[in-house]
Amino acid sequence: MAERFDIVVIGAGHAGCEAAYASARMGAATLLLTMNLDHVALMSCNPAVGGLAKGHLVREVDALGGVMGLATDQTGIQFRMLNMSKGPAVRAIRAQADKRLYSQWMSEFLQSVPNLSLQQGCVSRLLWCSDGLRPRVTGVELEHGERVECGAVIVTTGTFLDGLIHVGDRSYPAGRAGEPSAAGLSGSLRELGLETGRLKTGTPPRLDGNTVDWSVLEPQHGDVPPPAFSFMTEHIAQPQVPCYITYTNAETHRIILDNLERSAMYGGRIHSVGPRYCPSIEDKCVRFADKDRHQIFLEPEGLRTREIYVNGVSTSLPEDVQRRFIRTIRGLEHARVVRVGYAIEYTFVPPSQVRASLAVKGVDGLFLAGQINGTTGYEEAAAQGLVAGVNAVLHLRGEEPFVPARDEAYIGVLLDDLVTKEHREPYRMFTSRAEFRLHLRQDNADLRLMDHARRLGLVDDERYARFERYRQRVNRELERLAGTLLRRSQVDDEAAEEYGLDTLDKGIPLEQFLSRPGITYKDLMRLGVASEDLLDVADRETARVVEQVELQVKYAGYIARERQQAERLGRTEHKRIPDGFDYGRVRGLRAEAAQKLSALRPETLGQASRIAGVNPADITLLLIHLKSGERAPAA
Amino acid sequence: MTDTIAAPATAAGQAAIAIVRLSGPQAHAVFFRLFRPRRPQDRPPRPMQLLRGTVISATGEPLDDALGTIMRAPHSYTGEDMAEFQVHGSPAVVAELLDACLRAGARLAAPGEFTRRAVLNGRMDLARAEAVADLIAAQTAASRRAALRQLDGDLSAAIETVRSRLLDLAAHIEANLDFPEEEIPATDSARWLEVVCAARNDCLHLLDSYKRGRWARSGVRVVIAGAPNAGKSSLFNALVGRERAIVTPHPGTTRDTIESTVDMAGIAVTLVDTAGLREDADMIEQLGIQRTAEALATADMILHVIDSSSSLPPMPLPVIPEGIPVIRVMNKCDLPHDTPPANCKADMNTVFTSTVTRSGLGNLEKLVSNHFACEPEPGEVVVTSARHAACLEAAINSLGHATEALAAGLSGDLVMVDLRGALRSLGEITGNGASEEILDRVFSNFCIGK
Repeated sequence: MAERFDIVVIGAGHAGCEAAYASARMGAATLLLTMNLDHVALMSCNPAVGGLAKGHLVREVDALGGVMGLATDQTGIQFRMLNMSKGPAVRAIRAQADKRLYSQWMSEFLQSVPNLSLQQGCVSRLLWCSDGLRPRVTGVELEHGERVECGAVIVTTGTFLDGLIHVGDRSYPAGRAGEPSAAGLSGSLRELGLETGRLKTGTPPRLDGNTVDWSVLEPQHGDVPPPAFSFMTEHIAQPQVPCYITYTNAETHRIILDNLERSAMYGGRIHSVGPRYCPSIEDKCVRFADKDRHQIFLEPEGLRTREIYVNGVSTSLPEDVQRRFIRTIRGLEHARVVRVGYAIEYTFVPPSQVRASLAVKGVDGLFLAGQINGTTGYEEAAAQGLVAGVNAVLHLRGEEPFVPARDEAYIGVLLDDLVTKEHREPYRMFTSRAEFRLHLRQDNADLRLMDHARRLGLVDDERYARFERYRQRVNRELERLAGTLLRRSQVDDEAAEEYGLDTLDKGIPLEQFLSRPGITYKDLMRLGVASEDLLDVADRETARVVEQVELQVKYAGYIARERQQAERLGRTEHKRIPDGFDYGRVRGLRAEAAQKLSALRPETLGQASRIAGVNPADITLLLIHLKSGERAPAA
Repeated sequence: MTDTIAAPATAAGQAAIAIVRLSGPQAHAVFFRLFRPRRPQDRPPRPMQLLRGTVISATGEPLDDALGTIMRAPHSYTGEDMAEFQVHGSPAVVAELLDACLRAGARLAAPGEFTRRAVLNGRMDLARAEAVADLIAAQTAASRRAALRQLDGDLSAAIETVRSRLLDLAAHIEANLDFPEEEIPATDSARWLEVVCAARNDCLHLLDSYKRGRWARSGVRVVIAGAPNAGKSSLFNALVGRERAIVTPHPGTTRDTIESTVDMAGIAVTLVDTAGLREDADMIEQLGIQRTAEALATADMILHVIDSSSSLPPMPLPVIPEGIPVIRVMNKCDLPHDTPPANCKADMNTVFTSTVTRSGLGNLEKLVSNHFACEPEPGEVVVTSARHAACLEAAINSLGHATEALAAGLSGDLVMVDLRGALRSLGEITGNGASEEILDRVFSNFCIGK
């Protein structure tokens, strides 16, 4: 008799952990399967979380009750708020994590979650029945024949699916260095009718920190105090350490270029596509030959290891070349490579085959999240994992899926881009992908998403009550600022001159005064017109209220203009297109549009409108056709 | 739907009758700004009533005798407030009327947009919907062919040149925003400002070619304004007297100004004398000022008449819309003056005249007719489509905002709001989207990646 769960999650990486946690939080009996229980949430590449757009995603995952933000806050060893000199929409936290500690913390955390079981095992195939028209997933079979029954499966295989590592002219099957790849599962996916493809990514060598000459290198310290990802974190407790900066040089480039043919990439042994924004050092030397040096960050992998991640020199050159070019770099003249860099090819499922809910089209109860959908990055994976976990549960309950909109969250942008774009390289989030960028800030992720989290059962009463209190304080102050006039009689002559308030006869709303360039909430305090409620700036919540009020007032005009420019279809956005819709039947539709629409199979008119090659007239024709169908008597 | 759309409902080209339609909350307001019913009792009209009257252009010129109808929501094709003009089917008239609708607050409808609204508001049955679908498909194909023809050559290249420079700038800004840890060259807002200003000027130049085409088709309006007794009426009479009058001077039918249309170097120039407005004893002063402001707002050019014999500083004009050229006419230069005229240096836009000796009048006319010269210079790109002009205008507007943001030293994420707006508007002309293009340039121009 096979064991039965509501939901089985395959893979305990950053997508799998969030998926399993969300599903268990919503009350579903969940099994998280991993090939190695010691490697839960392992960071295969750089030991860092966040950065631009990615940090935004972490904040959103946190606001939706996810765990990545908390885990990083608990195990991070350097935190920085990037872009402090730029606008609030492009600020984001980047943290160095203690790689081993992160994995241990996540493992321990997940083991404490009710409804959630972790188990070591490798899935060899999916089980399904096909009673009606479409297959329905019923469970998984592990490699030794053991079966687990379930209502839904979430596949988060990362780089493990048919993984193939390349170092120089050598290649061998592996999921990541030192671990076997997962074979078999991709066969199941193809049997279910899914098309698969191959993508490539890479990682740099790691060094023994004892062999690096730190004294000649430029340190980069974190912020003091360290900013936290999670809205729940009070403060960061663990010790903080610096990273160090160095550069490649002409000699480094000479060695790399002389040995280009020995690199797996340039030797023609890899045919799949890697991301343009994660070029190998070979690529950088070839494509940007005019640059005489490339920047390298030396990042500690943890507090209890001397291992160093060499950010900037991802490579598939053979071992001997890696060791040689590393030693040309300042500070690394005697450095020992303790793990070599490599390129890895893996199988993915082009995401036109999933819905925005991450459910596979045409298969009941199968969800995909993370790199298997053609994305890259821990944060992108975590965001999808959370969405897939939530939607697998909603699917079992027979409820509508949770898909945040593009103007609600980067997660919404991610899901929409996945299903409406043609992907030629691994997809990574950038803030420039968000047309509502000024609104989708990391400071208001909770204001944007916490109500969803509440409705879905992803946050508890205590957390939601705290959020409600914060939100009310923000709204109360925004109302007060809009409704209160600043009059000349309220300020002394000196202040009147300093703030240009001399000609103020009728008074101006405080909101308008605060929106002036250079005026901050501190100025309201100085003038004695700040709210009584917001004077204690040492209080963390009060500081957040003040920050939020200031940002909303200052950027209101721009945010309104951004919205006006970005909004297009309005009411037709959510109009659904039925499954298996035949675009050939739409009278007058151009062949190019019909072909694009048939290939990407959008779920809504909104998605359809964002597909390249589909124009507004096509959407009108589609709308007419759909509306006509609604009214026609059932055939 | 919160905006109001306008479009010709009949096929382009010469035909007996052309129909221009409006739909949306402002449809009736726009309609009555441009349509003067013949019988006063027709205001306000009953819905569906066929009105006779005159349509006027954006510059206030009578454009054509026309029929007009309004329809109230939900009893209309789209289910919204609608209005229709039926005019004689000359392409020039239709273009003018459409232009007037856009200036009065409507937006040019996308292909099939009326129908989309009709469908959304449940105003279409199955049979009709299918027939309309055929029509849209045909129209789309036709307009695509037309657009292809139009974009075959120079305009497309000109727009792409501007877009390309803006895309490079956008890529640089975005690279700085999204990759703060990479070695992206530092931002140089002075240079960026130059790029944006240059792009805006290029767009203005292109839009100018459209305006000049419009001037050639339907003439221009030159308003004479200035202080009492500066010599406005004498100048008006002198200019009218020198030229062949196309229409005899008559009291304006739609406003209390004296107008006369003359031919200046092939351009129909309607001279508008605002004299009498402030000086008319029967007129309430305030009303006169109001009328002058209205006349100035519809002007293609303003002649600011100043009494050069007076040592008083010239009376400033009321606020005039940006972009309308003003020529300072230093009149009465035959009279002796004790001091050099105050605040007056000779420059490109200043002419010294005397309506008594008639000196300077030729120079003035040359200045006016040169400004409105219609012949495109060899190799000059000319914009002829109202849609393209509307896109250019939107782009110019966005680039203006971007200029302000850059000059104020605002952060790149704010500058990008308007830069993206401009790229989107220009992309609507050439059919390109911006988002992926910016990313493509980021990765080809900058070495990015861990």
